Amino acid sequence: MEQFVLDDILSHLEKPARYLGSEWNTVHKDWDGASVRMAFAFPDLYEVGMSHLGLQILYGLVNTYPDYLMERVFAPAPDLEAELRRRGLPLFSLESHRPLRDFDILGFTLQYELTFTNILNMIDLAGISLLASERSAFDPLVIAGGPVAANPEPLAPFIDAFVIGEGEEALPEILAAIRQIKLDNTRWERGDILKKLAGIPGVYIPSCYSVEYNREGRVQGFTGLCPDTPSQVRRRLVPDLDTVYYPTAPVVPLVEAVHERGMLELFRGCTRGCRFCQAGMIYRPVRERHTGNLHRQAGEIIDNTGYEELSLVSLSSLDYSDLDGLLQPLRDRCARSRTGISLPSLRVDSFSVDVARQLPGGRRTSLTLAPEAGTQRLRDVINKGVTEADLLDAVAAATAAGWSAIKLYFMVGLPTEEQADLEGIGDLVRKVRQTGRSAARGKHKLRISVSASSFVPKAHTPFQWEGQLPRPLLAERHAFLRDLVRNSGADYHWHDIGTSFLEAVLARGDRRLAGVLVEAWRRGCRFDGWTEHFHFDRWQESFRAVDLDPEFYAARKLAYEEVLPWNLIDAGIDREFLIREHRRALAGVATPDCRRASCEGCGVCPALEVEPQLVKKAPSNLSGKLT
Amino acid sequence: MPEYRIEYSKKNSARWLSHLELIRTFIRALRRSGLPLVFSQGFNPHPKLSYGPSLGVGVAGMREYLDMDLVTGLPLAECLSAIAQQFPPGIEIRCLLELPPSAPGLGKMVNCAWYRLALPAGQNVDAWQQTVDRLVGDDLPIYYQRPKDGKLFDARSALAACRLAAAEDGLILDLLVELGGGAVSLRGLVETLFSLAATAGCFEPARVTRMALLRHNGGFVNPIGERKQLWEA
Repeated sequence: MEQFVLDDILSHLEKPARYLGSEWNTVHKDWDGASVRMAFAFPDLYEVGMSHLGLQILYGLVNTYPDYLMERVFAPAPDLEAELRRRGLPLFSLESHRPLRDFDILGFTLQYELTFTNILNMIDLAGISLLASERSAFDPLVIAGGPVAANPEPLAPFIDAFVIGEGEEALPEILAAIRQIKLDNTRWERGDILKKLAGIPGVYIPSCYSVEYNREGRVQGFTGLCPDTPSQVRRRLVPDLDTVYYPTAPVVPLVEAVHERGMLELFRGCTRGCRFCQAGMIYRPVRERHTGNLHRQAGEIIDNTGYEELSLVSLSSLDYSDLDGLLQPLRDRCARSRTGISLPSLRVDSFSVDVARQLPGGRRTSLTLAPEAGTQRLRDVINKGVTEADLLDAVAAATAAGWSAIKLYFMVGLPTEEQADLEGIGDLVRKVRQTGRSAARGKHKLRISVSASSFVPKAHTPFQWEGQLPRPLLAERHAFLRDLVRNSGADYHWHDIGTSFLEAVLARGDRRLAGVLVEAWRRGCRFDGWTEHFHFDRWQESFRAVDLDPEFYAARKLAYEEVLPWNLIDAGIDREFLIREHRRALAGVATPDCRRASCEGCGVCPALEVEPQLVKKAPSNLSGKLT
Repeated sequence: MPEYRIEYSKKNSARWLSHLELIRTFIRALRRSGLPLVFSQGFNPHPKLSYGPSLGVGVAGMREYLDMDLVTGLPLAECLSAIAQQFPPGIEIRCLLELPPSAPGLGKMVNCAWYRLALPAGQNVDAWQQTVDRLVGDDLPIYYQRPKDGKLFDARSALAACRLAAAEDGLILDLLVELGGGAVSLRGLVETLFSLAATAGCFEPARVTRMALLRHNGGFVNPIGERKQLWEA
């Protein structure tokens, strides 16, 4: 259908270049020469998906195999969906503009709960049955992976197989299995294919389990339906980042993406232990890349893309243990090619600001810092190791260095939050303003803006048992905080409460929510993460239609003894550790980072048979404070 | 610092790039090429490039231009081979020349553009011939109402020449459009012509190709100094 797309469809679209598939560094493989063909599906717009490192990693990796082929597809924007439905055409891949049904595998990446209706929409537009149980051996295998697969249950009926954890090793194993099945002349039933995949570590086949619920509607237990189904599926991870594939010739977007820059991944995992943070739990332990490897990769990325900027990505880049060894040669390399260096977020301390100041190409406009909570008490509850002094030092350093705007991130509705904690945010903002004013010495005025999200309890975190505050209460607290912050001379922005509520429902949801997803999709819900496309009323109707109470999922505090909907997933973290962390949170006791203190027994290293990998022992810059 | 002019074409799938997308494609391609580009000062240095008049999304261009400054002069062949392989499909580098000092920039030099419109199948040839004859024959104003503010303009003020011709796969309409007026867009002009010919059809960017950018000053000359006749490719 390639010629048809190019000739007839593109002229009706607002941004046709999203669908050309001819970007620099794309791989156009010989269709007939490939033994397994997979479409990588990103369930959001091109502009979002093309900023995503995981896509570039798996796209590059799979295409390094001579007989595997991978192409991309993104959620069609509303104008393309309308054209496809009007003409009865299927959704197509970008590289060869072939119908998705022609592929062996359709693989979704799960980055955000509010893309779920887009996944249903893309499966439907591909002409594939929504329900895995209704697919035949001739349908593509629909798989999914990514951080949100930490609780895959709301998507369970739609997905044939989930990949739990990092995909660099598990995905090629899946492709090899499919290759073997295709070479085998006997006719495989779909069930047999899935059983074969179930034997691959990290692969979770939801149809191999049934879920029982008790009278209160809580999950009571799981029953394995196939002979060898494991009682839990353990997360996969890459033990050594220096030997694993990394994309140094990533696809360069044609349409301006959210982030237009090369990505240098310094490390995976973060053991700071913020108790609300799912990424901080499910990517453990810390695994750093060696500086020499990073320098080589940086040079290749710059040469291969022509990007104006290189971003040092990870969960907390300034925690890299050999920052000096990394940055000096990198600065020299980037100066030669006029490449800027950026950091996605800054740790809250003056050390970080000083490092950021010395990076080339940073336009000194806005600096983002995330203290998350307004009082030391609450910061201890969430284990965010930041003090007021750290924050004010960072602000002083930033203002003196010429930054003219500071963005502060906070969370509202955290466990144990009281009015004093909200008032604490107001106090902090005032102090930030005073500090900024004296550090600027009248040279410029510091703009301060506060961005507040609502706390969403996530699976596999110490706060997984906590509930989200009811919406009216969240609205009240945001309103209170908004007045406080605006009276302190700063702007206030907050995330839509309905969106955060739905995120909480899905993040701790079970399989019954699949019915709600279908209802919402039928009612036209798409791109729910985009405020302009989010229709909370349609979602409320959808919950009523299947007779489920969303509050049950979002607001309820769970008991430690309960069977959790995501109990089939083993992230490698010891349940006792999470309970201990939850109790310490309620007692306001902080837990140190295992990189600078002793092991706290989260259980990941023994369970997954790995060890933290730091390129430099006894790191000097981790204290967060420099003398 | 030596200045170079690149002549390129933007066609096939690349015609769907917007002007902004094309600019970013050029910047990255030139950065990858390793040529000694001249950068602006400041925190976020940009390479010194200047572009010709923008092409709409979907419109192809056979001979488009871009000027760039280099820190040091390089042999043209070396320059050309450095950049030629750096572009996504549909953008082809045609030639490169070093500009004499004090050569006028593209914006100053170019004052008209030759657009070729492939008319949809099944058009009434006579109606189009009459339309063209009228455009060429008299000088009564042909009114075009600008949609955004309802102002009336004479569509003919934007049109320097026009002709109807038969091509292998249908009729083509060649339009020589004056640049710089800005009152009547290409879309407005084409739609006015369709209504004048009283024939079904609308502006379809994918049917339009910019054949040449020219300076009209008695005769015609293109940005790389070639003298041309009217409608000479």
